[in-house]
Amino acid sequence: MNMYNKKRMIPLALPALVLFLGVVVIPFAIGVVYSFTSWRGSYFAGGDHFWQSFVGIENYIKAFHTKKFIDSLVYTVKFTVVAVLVITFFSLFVSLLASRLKRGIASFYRTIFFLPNLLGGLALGYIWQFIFEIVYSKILFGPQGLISLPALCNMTQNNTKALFALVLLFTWQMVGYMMIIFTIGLNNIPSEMVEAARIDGASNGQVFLHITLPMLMPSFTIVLFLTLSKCFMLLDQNIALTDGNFGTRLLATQILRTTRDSAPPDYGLAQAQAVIFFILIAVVALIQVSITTKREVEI
Amino acid sequence: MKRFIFMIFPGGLMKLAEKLLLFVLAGSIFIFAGCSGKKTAGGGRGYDLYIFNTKGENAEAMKAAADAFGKEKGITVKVFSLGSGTNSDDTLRTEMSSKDKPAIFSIMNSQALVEWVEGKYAMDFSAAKNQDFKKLADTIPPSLRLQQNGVSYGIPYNVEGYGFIVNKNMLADLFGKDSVDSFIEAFKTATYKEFENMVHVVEAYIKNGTAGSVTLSGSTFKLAAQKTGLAKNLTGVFSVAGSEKWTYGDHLVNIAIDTIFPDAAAAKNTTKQELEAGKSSFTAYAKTLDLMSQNATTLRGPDLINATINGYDQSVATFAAGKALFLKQGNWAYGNIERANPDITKTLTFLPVKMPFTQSDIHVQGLTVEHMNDSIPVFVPNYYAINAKVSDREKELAEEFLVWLNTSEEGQDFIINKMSFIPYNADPAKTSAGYSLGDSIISYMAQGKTITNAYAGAPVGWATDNLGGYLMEHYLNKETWPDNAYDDIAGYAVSRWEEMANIN
Repeated sequence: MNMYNKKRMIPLALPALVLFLGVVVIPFAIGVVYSFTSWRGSYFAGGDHFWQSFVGIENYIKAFHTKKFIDSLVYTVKFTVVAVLVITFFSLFVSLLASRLKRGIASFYRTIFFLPNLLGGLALGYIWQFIFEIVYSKILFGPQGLISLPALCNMTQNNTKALFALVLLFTWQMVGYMMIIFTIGLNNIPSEMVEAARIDGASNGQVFLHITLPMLMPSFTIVLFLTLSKCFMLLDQNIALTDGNFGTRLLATQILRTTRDSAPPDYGLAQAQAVIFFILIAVVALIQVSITTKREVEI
Repeated sequence: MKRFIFMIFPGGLMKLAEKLLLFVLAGSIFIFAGCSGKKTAGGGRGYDLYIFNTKGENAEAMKAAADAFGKEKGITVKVFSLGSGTNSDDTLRTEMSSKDKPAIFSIMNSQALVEWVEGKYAMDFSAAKNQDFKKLADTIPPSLRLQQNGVSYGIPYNVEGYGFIVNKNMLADLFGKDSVDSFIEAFKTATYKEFENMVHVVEAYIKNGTAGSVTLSGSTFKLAAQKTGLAKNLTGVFSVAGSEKWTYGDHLVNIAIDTIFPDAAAAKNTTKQELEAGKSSFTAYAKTLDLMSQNATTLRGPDLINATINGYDQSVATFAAGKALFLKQGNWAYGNIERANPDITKTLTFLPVKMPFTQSDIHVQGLTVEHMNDSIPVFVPNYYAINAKVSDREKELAEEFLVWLNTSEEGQDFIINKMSFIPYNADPAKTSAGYSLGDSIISYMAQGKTITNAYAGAPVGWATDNLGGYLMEHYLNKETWPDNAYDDIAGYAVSRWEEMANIN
């Protein structure tokens, strides 16, 4: 099978390559060029063509001086730190649980955990908005609810609470996906190694720390990379859940809304913010991948 | 030759068929991508006139009007409409950057106009070739024009208005059938104090059943001793869409801004002194907002700003179900109300929104407190503009279409009956909108009891995102307001405007 694919590599890869170039690479390059101009969406302020309206790094300086951009950056970082920890912990936990079950039941549970991942971002956001605003605040944890817990009421109306609301939503969506990655990783741990450890008298904790975790490092690489990048780029759920009110605007929403903050709309500024966004995610992801790859254990 | 074939097709000619299939499949992707269904009629690209319509409510009627015009002239007209409520800016900019630009597009107000003038897309109407069109542009009332530096760039779509929507049958059940007409007339000329007392009396009646009477413009109206008919469903005086910042951030504050500036252009060019002098109007606005949100169907608090409880659709449904007496909305909500409860649509009317202004709050020449009290804002929500960058032939057709739409009988029929719009240039004494709310607006226009939408000159984003957001996050979600609430709101409104407009 591999030989078959290798020989026909060029024609097989060609359509995807062309699409990737046309839809991702070329617009990206154009975007980077435009970020150095005063682009207004349908024209360039200062001339008819983009080379007549270069403004150098003025857009980048303006971006860093925009309070909304810095605020959304800080909020996104806070959200990402919490979300990555929570998602990684829960997905590992769930995959370990499922690995203990018999095959049929394990598949059943895995399917249920994976289902939320199939929903689109906007639909999820609106469903959870309803849950936070009505189910939590009125039925379950409100003053007349089952148990009165003010901390869990009106979570979409407070900066900090909304962060946890978003984490809850995103965890619900992502745990299934990450759990599958961990499950594959767990299945790749040779059982002989675990048996040998038990014969040597290792406890459960020691098996987990010294065998399971190091062998799972490749899975950690993937899970952390995916979670980090998805958290940074979160858009639909943010808009649907809080629409950025109460200071809960994440970075992607901020870039989207920049063009509505001035007349004429400043697309050059938005583009500069997008490039900063890209560099940020790329740097963080690359650092993360290199750290976790170094810790991968070869059998 | 065989070696050549072997290089490209390893595995020999036997696998050639399979290889060919692969290439054909790969190639067909490009062919299908390239084919975008371009019709062959018209000047090579499928149409003679391209209209980009951003007011989605009239999409079908616009298409019908365009087709009727096209048939008359023997040309093909392409209409592109976006869904109502969708933000159309990005799509419009994409179309403007393409080869096939729309000849007619939409501009909302003078703030949006800046972009299109700077990019040289909006055509200056004094450069129009069609004489009828020039006449049409010249006869637009000055207060309804889309102008920058004295140059006209837009033809109004229609006029819209907003105020307190009330169901006359509900008033009949509250105050007696015979008093309804006199109540409405008395309400229009009532002072804010009388209005405020009325709200308190009705709220007490709704909550506790305490009968009482209401005095408006000197006449007294007694509440029915027992709640009958529609009045039994009432749970509050106002239906407030707390999660929709534009209802109180844009439209409600507009009424206060109308006392400071005569039109949007004056608001755009304001100075620091003018704004500071207008602070008392914003205080009056805060008082009205306080009154409305304290007497709403939902208790003022976190619930009032939840989109699931008090979003736009929910607020309209609450009113349509008879749970509230007043709904502050515009004639555009008619369709929603009809869908929610078609029984009440025939007896709806507008009542003016009142704010506690004194003559010293008013800085517009010739404007009186009485006029502010008995008028509703009537304004143009959107304008047709012509693209200066299309061919001369297209510009000519665009001008002819706009003349046809706004002056011919057939065009007016489309505007009034099919699009359900109130034409900006129709004689209010002779026109009927065909539905209750539209006719109500026309009657206000006929009596000259209208105020404008000066808030359109405020900095972009000041009204909805900043003022609306501030109110939503600090005031509408709290049951009680601190003593300095009014001053704080007015102070924020003014200082934020100064910051955003860079006038310090």
